Amino acid sequence: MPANNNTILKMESITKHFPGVKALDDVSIELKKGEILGLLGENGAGKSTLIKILSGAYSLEEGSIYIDSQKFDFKHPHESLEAGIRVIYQELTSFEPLTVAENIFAGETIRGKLGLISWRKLGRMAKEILNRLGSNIRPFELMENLNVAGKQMVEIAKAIHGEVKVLVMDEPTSALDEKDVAALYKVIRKLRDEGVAIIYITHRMEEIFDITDRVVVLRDGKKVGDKKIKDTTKSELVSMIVGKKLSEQYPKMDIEKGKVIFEVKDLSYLNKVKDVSFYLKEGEIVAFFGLLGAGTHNLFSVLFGDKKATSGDIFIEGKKINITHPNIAKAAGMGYVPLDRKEEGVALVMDIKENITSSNIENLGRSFVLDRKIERKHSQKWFDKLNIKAPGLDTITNSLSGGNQQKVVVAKWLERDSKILLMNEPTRGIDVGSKAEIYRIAEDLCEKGVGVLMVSSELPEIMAIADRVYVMKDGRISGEFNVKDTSQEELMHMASA
Amino acid sequence: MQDKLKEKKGFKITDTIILLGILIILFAFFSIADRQFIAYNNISTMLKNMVLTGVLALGLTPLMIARGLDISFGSSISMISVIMALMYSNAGINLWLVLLTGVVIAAIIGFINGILIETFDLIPIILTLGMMAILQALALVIANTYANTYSILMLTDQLYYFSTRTFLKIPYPLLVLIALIVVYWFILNKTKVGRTIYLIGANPTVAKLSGVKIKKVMVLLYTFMGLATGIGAVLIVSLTGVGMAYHGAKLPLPTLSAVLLGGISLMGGAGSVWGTVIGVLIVTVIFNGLSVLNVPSYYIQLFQGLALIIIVAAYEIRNKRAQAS
Repeated sequence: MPANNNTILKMESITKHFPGVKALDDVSIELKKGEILGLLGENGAGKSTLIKILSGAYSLEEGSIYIDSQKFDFKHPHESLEAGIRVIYQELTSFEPLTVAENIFAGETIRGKLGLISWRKLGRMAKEILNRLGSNIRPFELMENLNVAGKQMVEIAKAIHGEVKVLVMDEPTSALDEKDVAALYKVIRKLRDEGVAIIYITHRMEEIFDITDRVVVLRDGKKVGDKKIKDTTKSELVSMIVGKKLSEQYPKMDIEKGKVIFEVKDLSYLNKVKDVSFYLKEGEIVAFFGLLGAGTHNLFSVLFGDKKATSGDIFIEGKKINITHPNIAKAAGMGYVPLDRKEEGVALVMDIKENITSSNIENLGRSFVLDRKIERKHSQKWFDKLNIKAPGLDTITNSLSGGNQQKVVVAKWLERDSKILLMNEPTRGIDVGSKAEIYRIAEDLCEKGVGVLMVSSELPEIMAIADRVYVMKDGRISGEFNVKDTSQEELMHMASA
Repeated sequence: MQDKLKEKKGFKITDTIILLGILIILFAFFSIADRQFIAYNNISTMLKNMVLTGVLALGLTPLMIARGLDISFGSSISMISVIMALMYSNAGINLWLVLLTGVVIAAIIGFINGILIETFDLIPIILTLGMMAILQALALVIANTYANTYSILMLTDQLYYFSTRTFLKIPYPLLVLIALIVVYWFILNKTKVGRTIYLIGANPTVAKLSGVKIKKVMVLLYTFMGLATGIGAVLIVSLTGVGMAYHGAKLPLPTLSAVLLGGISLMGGAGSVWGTVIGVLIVTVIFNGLSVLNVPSYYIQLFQGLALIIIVAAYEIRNKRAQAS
């Protein structure tokens, strides 16, 4: 890389206040052309505020922004787009019924010679961009036919056409499996080689060390670290993020296991889940690991009654239960922390106490009248126990961070005193601090004899807290391991072989 | 804390104040425009008009909060009023049995709506649109077949007394409405069922994964809407003395306007009984005020349509502003 002034982005002394809180305090970052900068920090540390100021979604309060040495003060996100700033958010948004090409060029009309829309030109331009990314997605493929990795590729294509100077990617791998992550890295490196500067936000440590050149850590609105990746360690970064040492993060307790509490025999669901059999003991955390399409998510939907099994049996404490609806699973003592907390876990427009009690409405008082005192008492208990960070029980869940929203979902099932807790990617897109708290909650439950089933695509997480792991591939269970007797490599191999 | 309370269930407390303000302004406007507006006679006419729209709007409230919708109630009232009038006047059947039958048939129609929508995952507006057409046609067919006319007298002493007598100066029909308001308010705000209804409206997926049997609840809500429709049919024959195949034709517009004005979102999750009540009051005042000013009835419909568009647009603009901030 040339040594002369290659700085493409400079954010100087950025300070930003919101009612009651200082979101950013004198934060300065610099980015060179072709540099990949990792941006780390817990939820609430200020990362997304910083990015929103860069993208023009929030106004500059104090400080300055220089792009390619030119000063900018964005009044509208459109201006930042024109200045070469592109942001890809964690939640992918696409127009499902339309095609890939239409999504890439959404908002623009590609005209041909007669001034009418030229589909041929649209397809050609879309193909160019997709090729540039090394993707073989067809330009006129329907968005709804793509998997998550494909949709993300289209999102990237959309972001990079036109002149892009700085590309911000927020948790790009949270919904991808290892194979797609490798493909994504390839694309990112390609863009870097073209001179695009990239800001990469993630909570996954391994990725930071895989892909970034430099890393900036924010904590409580301040910059607490700015280091080249080769000059630092995971331990040091985590300390900077959280202020605690790594060994305190995932303490694994030795819990005595009880009898078999949940057993599944030959469970099948269409062609997505095939003859799955497994068991769970009291006090165990059993993980399910699989690549995209392996069937793990569908399995959990079936177990909780959201989808109906086509064949097979489920036994709870030895008794066969026909789970055809979530309310049967719930009555049998099961709980479910779903994959998508915003769409399936919490009712965003309702407040914390309403959400925590949403699975237990029938027990809020003895008669048909809803006893609000009981509602408050119960939800306050979990609010305190789970350390939910919010102004109060009446806070609308929409304003909570991901980690706290997830805690509300877990609280829902603690409120029901669930004996079998299903968790589907429970720590996806959640900061380090909340992650550790959720692990602690899971282990507390195990101590009380609860059994936990967990779908996870983060191998380090599985190795750290699970007792046993089932690997799934193509809808079937391809292997069962004691976590103590296996390795990440072996699990990965089983999932992809 | 106040901010959070204000944002509850998509119906901000400031909304109520704004709506009340609009109501007061409208009332003042019409009172000044024509003294007849606040005459005792007119007030009691207004109250009578309000009762019908009110009962139907109340029935729609929990249904729409839970993301349901029924536009067939107008035609249902038409058909049932015809059936009741024929049963009483032509067949001489006992009045109470006639009224009971009417209400039961209405509830059954609501039940059918619910079952069809939930079993086949139909879009509510489309199914009830079809039902509306069918019931309207049936109303005319039945009336023509058994009475060769579309309007059948149903004059009874009991219903006459009911519609004209008052208790502490409040007309009986209005008492019925007030009772229903109390019941619906209680159910939606104070009971477990009410909380479940709001949960379904807020996010049906979350509700299902919390163990709520959504389909069951929805069928119940459609049936209760049918019940409200039945009560509406009884009220209309009491107030008018006839069963007519076009009785309910003009009901959907003011009823839906009232409900939407009151803050019920077509997307569900939002709304309250108070909002609906104020919405009904506003719609009734507009309708009645314009009548008193001798505005021809087709113009009134024009204003009602305009009011609906303006209201819904205002809510949408406000929602967009809230999202952007």
